[in-house]
Amino acid sequence: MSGTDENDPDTALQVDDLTVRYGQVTAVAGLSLRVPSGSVVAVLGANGAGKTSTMRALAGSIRASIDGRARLFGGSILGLSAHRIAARGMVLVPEGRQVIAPLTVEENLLLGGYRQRSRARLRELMAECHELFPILHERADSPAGLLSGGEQQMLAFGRALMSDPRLILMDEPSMGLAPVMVDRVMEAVEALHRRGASILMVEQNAASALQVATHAYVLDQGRIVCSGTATEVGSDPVVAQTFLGLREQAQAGQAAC
Amino acid sequence: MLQQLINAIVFGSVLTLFSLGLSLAWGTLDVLNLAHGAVFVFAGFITYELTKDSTMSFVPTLIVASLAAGAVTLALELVAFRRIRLHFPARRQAELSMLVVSVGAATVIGEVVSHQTSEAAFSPPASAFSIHRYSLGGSVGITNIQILIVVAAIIVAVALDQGIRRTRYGRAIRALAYDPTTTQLLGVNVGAVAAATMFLAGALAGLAGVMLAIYLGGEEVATGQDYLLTAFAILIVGGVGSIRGAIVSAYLIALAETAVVAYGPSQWRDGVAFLLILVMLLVRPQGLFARRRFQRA
Amino acid sequence: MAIASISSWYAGNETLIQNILIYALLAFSVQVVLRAGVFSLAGIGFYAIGSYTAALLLKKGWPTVPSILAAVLLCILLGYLLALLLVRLRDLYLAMATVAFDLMVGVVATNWTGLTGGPLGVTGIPLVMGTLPIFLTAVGAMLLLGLLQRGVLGRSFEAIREDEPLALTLAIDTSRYRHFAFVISCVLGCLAGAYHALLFGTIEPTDAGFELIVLALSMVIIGGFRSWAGALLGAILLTWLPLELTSVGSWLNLVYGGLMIVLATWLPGGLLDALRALLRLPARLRLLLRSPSSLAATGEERG
Ligand SMILES: Nc1ncnc2c1ncn2[C@@H]1O[C@H](COP(=O)(O)OP(=O)(O)OP(=O)(O)O)[C@@H](O)[C@H]1O
Ligand SMILES: [Mg+2]
Repeated sequence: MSGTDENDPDTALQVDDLTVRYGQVTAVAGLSLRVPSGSVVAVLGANGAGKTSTMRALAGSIRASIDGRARLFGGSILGLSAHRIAARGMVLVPEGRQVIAPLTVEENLLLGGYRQRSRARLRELMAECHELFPILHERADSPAGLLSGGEQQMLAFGRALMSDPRLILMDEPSMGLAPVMVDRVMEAVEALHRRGASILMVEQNAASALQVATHAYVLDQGRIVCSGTATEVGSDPVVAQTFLGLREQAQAGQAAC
Repeated sequence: MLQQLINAIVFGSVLTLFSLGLSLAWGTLDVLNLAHGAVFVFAGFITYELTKDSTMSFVPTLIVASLAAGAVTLALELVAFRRIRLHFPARRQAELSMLVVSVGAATVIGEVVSHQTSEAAFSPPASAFSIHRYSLGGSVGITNIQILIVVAAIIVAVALDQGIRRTRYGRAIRALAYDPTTTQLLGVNVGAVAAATMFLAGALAGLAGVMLAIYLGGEEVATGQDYLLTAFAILIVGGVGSIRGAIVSAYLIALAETAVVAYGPSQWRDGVAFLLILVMLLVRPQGLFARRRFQRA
Repeated sequence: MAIASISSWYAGNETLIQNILIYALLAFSVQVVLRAGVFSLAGIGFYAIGSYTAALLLKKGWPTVPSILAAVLLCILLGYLLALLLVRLRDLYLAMATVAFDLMVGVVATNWTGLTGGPLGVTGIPLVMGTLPIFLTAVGAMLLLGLLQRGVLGRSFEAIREDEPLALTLAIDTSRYRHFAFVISCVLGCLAGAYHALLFGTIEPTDAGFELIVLALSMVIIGGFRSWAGALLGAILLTWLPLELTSVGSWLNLVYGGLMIVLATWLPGGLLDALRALLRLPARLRLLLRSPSSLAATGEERG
């Protein structure tokens, strides 16, 4: 198993046998995955596959019983509270963006940099944020709740960037956005990646996610049913059929799962 | 006339100190803390205990009593409120439970104080703080404790307002009020911020309690309830969670009550607050100073 | 023989029983709204209104039943008006507004000397009340509350408490239910006050103050707010215990306060829930022995 390497410097996140239960409901059943350092890993799954449960369990922000192991840069994180996990350099961009509506855009960003003690560093990060997402500069003083959905997603990314993370988890960043906006979101994901963060993203929008991903997993009913490089997974007939809606290609491709 | 105005301003300052803590707890943590009045009296009681044998001077007494009041409120947070917030996901159930806990705490604290004082009013000795009166011409005058109260209220009000608006901790409090889960995801230790907030709220009540004990020359358990009800009116008029609203309406209500006592049917003084509550709730339930509201997700 | 001993026990405890019944009515008045998710403590204000109205009419020479009926009608009217006034308020705001209302009633009672006798209150009210009518009223209230807990009506109330927007989408006319619960609460408080005045003959304007609010709330919370039986249990305990625990004496309030903190934090269903859990314990143990995993389902805490 790939999880045997305890302190592998090439691994940002190693998850083994993650199980998440809400009372009698098992949302995630023994999920294992690896996020290599500097990669963009996409986890594809339909509604109710257990994507959000996985992300929230890893981020320490869930009320459920959790089993398994998760190591972030070698350190165990399951069971830690969310703010401690954030302090270790992993940040979650939650499903539905969850900006703090009454606070201004700038205040949201500053909140993202809550753990940055140095003012100079905070200013640097803020400048970087503004460069990457100019809209956040233009709308700095307006309440975050008044931004459009796409703008809020940029704010959620910017807010994550402010914590200067080594690993960013993203829960359906394209949710509820128009196709043009989805492309912009994926560009932003690439930009964050280029900046040096590893990325673990769950998505239903497989086509877009696979364009930016280096590795991919397919999640179904709480289990990983397929994994490989983004290209391998993308050319798998089952994936093509269920997530990409491509029938012809389905016949042409090779089975990866 | 001028004297009445001075009295109103001093009264408004006590109300400000008292109601800011209440507003903070409700606005950020959904705690309608009915023990706030008891904590306030508790601080007056500590003052009495520390000074009755002339053992401690004013400034240390003020500090110890305020910290004690903060500690009592912090204990409530750690023992009960935190658990309730964690274990009762339905907001309404959590609010009700926290309200009930605070009623229980008010009973416990009030009972302890009235036992220790044999249910009588207690007054710190005159030696605890030597009061001077400065004449402002004619019969008008102001005492040093009055000046102290006003100055303390101004300092606390400005510091709190600016702190909530501009500091890192202030942003965390406002974010926590809106969405604790996401706030924690961003690296904020929400448990610690909540604890600090409750401690601060209690300490402010304590500060008010100590100064009032000296100013009035005495307090009893029922004093806390009277102030609590006036503070309700302040919160409603100013808008829950609004620091500036609380400050402005504290002085407005102090002015109104002073005017009723001085020129109107003085026995209706208590009625002023209740009437204001009912009228405000009908006309503008979000408070005079509330701005745009966002629905929580 | 047995009858004789029962009747002598009854004679020795009549006041206690009367008090329990009256407090039960008051506790019901708080329970019926809390259960529907309406944080109203207005019942205590109506306790005062009911007691003054019935007592003053009676002293004017009205017969007993019309006096009480008039008090109830007045309370229905005022209760409905208040419900309309406070219709937009929810949760803590409503709790605060109704507490303010209660205290406002007290202020009016203290200061409207011409009508209410001011701070001295009302004395020399004819003692026309017996235990039986109070008992029957309490039983009637239990039946009504029991009915409200069952069937479509009970589920509607529960839905409103748990999730009002959701209840609305289920085509439950939430504001009608809320008004209904509110007015019932006012009437129950009114009856408790009227009976108390006619039974004991005096009213003081401070009767229905902050302390009565705390007492009524503690009864409901300690007993259990989810059912009328909890409120009854609370009323019995908190009326009877002070007489038994004379050794605790003046520390009794401390015990109540502590109990409220503990119960609200660890056992929101009150003593009634604890009792039920205790009764279920043998059955659950048997279940546990047979299949350990099935326990989780029954053991889940309900919000
Ligand atoms: N708090 C909860 N209590 C009980 N069951 C839950 C809870 N949250 C999620 N579930 C269940 O767990 C399963 C996985 O849910 P999850 O939210 O992780 O799915 P998802 O992949 O994120 O779906 P979506 O694409 O719709 O966001 C679902 O069957 C869901 O009903
Ligand atoms: Mg999801």
